[in-house]
Amino acid sequence: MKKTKTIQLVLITAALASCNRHLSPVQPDEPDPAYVPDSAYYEVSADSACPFYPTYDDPYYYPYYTGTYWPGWDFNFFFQIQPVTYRRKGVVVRHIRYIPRGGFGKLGVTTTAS
Amino acid sequence: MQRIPISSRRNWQQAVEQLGFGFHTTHVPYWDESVYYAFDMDEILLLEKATAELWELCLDAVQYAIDHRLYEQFHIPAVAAPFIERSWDEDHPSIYGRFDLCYRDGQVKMLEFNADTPTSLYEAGIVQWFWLQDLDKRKDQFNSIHEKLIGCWSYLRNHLHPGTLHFSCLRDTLEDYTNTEYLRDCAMQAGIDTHFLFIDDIGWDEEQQAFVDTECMPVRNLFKLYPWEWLLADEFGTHISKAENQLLFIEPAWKMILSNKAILPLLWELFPGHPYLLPAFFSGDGLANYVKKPLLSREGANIEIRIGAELACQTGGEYGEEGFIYQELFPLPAFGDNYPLIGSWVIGQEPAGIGIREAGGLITDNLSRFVPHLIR
Repeated sequence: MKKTKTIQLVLITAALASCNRHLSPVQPDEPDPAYVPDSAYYEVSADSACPFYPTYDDPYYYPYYTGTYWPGWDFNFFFQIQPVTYRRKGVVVRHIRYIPRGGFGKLGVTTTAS
Repeated sequence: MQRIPISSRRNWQQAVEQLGFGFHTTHVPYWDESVYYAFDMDEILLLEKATAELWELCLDAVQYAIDHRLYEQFHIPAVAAPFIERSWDEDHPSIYGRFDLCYRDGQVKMLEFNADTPTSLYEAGIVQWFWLQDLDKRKDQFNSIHEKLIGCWSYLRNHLHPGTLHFSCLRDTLEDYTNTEYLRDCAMQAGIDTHFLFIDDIGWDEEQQAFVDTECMPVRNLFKLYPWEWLLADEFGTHISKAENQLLFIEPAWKMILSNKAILPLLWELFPGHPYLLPAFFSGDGLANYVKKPLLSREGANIEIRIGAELACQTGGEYGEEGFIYQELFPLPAFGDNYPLIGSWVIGQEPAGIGIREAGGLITDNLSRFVPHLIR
């Protein structure tokens, strides 16, 4: 029934051994009031995985912050859309896009997996 | 199958916590080693055979459901049909599933199949195995879950899209997190590059038309411990069709059919009288004693058991709007006031072991205890 007597865990022990907190299971009829997921929010990311900012006309300066507007999405609450500063060209600057997150996970507050 | 009370290990909390098992106790005990179940090898072989056969029946039923486009009967939205069919036709990777079986009087009956987001994998694969090592190293267990997970990931490695395999689950549920991290652990041991992120950390990059992780990297392979029906109903559900060409979901979309209780009447229709199946229908008419289950319920929510005209027991919850199925009652065996349900794992395509949940009544819910087992 058992193929081997040796079981190795490379991740789980390290990751979870310090997590010995006891969570009450979330009851289907008793939503956990402590956890209410955010509505979709917006995050500025300047990670190198994002593409470079495209060519900008100004020979010396370019807007450091910019944004992409999707109709119907109000993110004035989160960010000012205007360019807020300028930097000399030649500095490596990434394209800063607004990546909406939080679009998955909202239905999970009332129950857990099976 | 015998239920055998014993003394728990004196330091059992410490012992299981050292394994990274942090949800052994909630406001009631979850991990319970004050008792175990002992099986004869013949019984284990029967459970193994039943699991393998049920898996084959389920695959046939999926093919039938797709061929006859039974999505409405399963309350699956039309938008999901292309995902389901594509994932089935292209044989997208699947890693696991757990049959819930009733084993009583020498008979095995399938109660349901947790095909999309089964949990208790870590307890079954790791915690009960190390319990057995402390109890009696000479004994065996129906448990090759760990080895099969690594083997299955090794096989699937060449069937993934190039790049990282992301693992994701809900935030703030240690049980889901532990199960997900355990699966990731096995994937890493199989040589797969992995990354974890919570499900609400997944972003949508409109420019790339791709889901992205917290580093803005496109997610090309996603193991999600999060049900398909929730993915589709969530705000980002509409993006799935745009990203689908470049993204493999594990479990694949066709598991929507198997994780749905509507599979039970379909199985009975396709294989009437099969010894491992129970009569099940979309109406309770004609069933004297039955269990009424919502198509999509989890953890024993919104279940009713009727014996004759009497409502024997029921549970609350938020499911049921999607409709119900009615399954002939085949009560769990009673050991005093304890009712064990056998969770039988399929890893890849093979039976891989069992975990037992013990309830104080006929309905196994999220307060039911996990009890270890051994082979005599």
